[in-house]
Amino acid sequence: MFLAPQTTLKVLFALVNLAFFAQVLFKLLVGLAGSSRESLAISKEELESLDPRKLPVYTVLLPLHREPPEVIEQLTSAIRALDYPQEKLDILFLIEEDDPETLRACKAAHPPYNVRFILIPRGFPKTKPRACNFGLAFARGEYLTIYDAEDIPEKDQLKKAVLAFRKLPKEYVCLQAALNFYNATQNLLTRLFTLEYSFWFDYLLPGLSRLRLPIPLGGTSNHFRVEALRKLGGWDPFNVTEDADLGMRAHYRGYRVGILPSTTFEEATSHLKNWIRQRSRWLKGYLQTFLVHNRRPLHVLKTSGFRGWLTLQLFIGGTPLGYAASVVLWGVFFAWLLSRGKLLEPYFSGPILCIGAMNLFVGNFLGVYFSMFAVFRRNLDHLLPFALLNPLYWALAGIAAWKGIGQLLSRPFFWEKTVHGMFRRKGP
Amino acid sequence: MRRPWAGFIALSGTTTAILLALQRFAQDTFALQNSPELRFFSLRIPTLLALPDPARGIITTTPCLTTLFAFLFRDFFPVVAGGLTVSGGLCTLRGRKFIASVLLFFSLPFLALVLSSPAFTMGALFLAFGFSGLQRAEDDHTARFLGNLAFGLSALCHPVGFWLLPIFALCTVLSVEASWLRRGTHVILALSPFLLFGGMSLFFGWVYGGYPLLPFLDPALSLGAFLALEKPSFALQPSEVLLAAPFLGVLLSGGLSQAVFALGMLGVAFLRPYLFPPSGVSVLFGLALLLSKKDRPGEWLVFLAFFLLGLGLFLARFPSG
Repeated sequence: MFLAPQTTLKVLFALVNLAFFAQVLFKLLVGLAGSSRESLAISKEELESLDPRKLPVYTVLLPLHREPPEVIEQLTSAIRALDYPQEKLDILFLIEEDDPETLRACKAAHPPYNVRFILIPRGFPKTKPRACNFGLAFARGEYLTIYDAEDIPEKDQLKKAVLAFRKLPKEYVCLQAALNFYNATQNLLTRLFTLEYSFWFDYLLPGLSRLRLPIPLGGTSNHFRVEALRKLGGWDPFNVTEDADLGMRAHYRGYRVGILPSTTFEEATSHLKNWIRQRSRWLKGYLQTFLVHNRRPLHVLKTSGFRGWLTLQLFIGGTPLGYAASVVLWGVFFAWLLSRGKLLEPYFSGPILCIGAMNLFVGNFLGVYFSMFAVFRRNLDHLLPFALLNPLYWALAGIAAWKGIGQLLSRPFFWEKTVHGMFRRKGP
Repeated sequence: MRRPWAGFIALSGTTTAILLALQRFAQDTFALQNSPELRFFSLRIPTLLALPDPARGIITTTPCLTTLFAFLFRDFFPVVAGGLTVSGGLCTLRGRKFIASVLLFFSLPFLALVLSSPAFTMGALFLAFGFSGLQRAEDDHTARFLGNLAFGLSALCHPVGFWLLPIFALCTVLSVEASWLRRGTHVILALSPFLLFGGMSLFFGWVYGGYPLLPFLDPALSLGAFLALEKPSFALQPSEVLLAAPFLGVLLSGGLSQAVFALGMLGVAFLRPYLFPPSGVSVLFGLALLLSKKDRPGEWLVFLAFFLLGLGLFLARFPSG
């Protein structure tokens, strides 16, 4: 590097641009696969014909940590609103032992009789997956799902999941519901977050499922067959995006993840600092998953095939690394732009210039365009113009990625808590 | 091997072989040396090669994608463009409309168009993808997404798309049954890719030339400006009457948006004739029809009736043969 810095930089630029290009192509293919019509349709008639007596017991895990009382109240209302026989619901509030405030708030909210409180003993690491593993040990249901404290699932989601599990072959061990936000229009950040989530959950994850690729599960609203989840060993308590890791492990065993045609509405973090905190944890978790599974790349190739391996590199590893690299590349781009292409002429010429131009225009545009289509599909047309601001949002994600990388080195298992309850939902 | 793939390989392979043979042995017959499009590229490529960084020259030429192809494949550019067009068309058809595709891809006007105007042919394929995307079901997001993207990519192939922009917007409005607000959203989604890809040249023109419109106005850099200097080449060829008539008939009888597309295309062909090489309209009609969703009942009757009409016109115009 020190002997030939110019050549080294040129090669680096070429590699980064090629990796970006590969990621753009990958996301295009997955997004296109995800844009076709829902393969798993559940009709209203099918839902109405379900016999409540024949419905299985359903466990709902609710990991709670330092939740404000109003969030607990909202949670209790959401539980009561679920369209599922109450006697068949096994609801577990997972509360950390050293969090008496949340415990008090939960008791004060007078939850229904089918709620059990599980106190998670002090221990290391203090993470959501660790709490969920305790919940799994106490679960009584045939099926299980996880919701976050501020989640409001569609009322018939559990019934839909039961129907879907009955329709699908046994190899489907998990169904991921779509996530979206009830405070999409609160501010610019929540609008951009909604654009991103709509693309992620309505295009990318369905695309991965259709192409039989490993799916990094979303943090909540994933529904499992309990038996299979136990066989998989539950969640990795040290991984801060435990669901992404679980999705990979499920794929190794030949299990499949389906997409449930139902949405859970969450609260989008509306404060920048809080958003960076949440995003840096996600990106750190993706990097953890990427590194953990790349310890044995041949095992990944053998059990998950080339396409699974590629997903691990381009999607799970590529997401945080791509965001981190994009901050640097945007800086390079503006330097190039201000000097009208003269400053970095030796580095951006020939094929690198062509690929770089393609990444700049086609790659970024596809990201913007997919999110435009995603909100269009959800009839959120008013969010369409905000898609043009996506590059700004990606720059923020780049900052979060660097924070995540730093934290991976300094505090790899630290769970940065996202503060909920900043938005009071209006109306029902 | 599954049959559609066998058919696909056979058809695209045969067309490419025919194109290669035609290009080698029958250049004079098709007057390829007089093709304005080929002349543009034959002037541009040596200039690019003389530049210290040809890539910079490629991205400041409009259209840049076909310039890149012309730069990479030189004399074989028309054959590659033809092979890609046939393969792209057949990939989409997946075994449907076999006879119609054979009729189009093996017809003399199509082969002549590919060899004389490869950039137009590639652009026509993307334009046809774009318009056929509008014919798909309203809720088929994949078709719409790909159609809009394809229409956008036509901006990187040939300048004719710039004149078809309002027609595409109109066809988009006509293709959906929704509130006007929703239709407006459809139009924004339909035009965004084209505007962005078309805008690439403005950006690079500004960065490298200091003047954004340079790649559009300078005949040395812009195919559109170069063609405008040429004599109008649009003339309804005798063979074209025969080829265009059945496709035109089906398009006109295929619903409002298809009819608007066909009439709009004819309008642009008469207003900006230099953009349409001979048989350009008919090939574009043929491609758009082939790529549309499915055969409608009675479509073949219309096809046959207009074929006979075209034949009649052809014979009436050239009674002595």
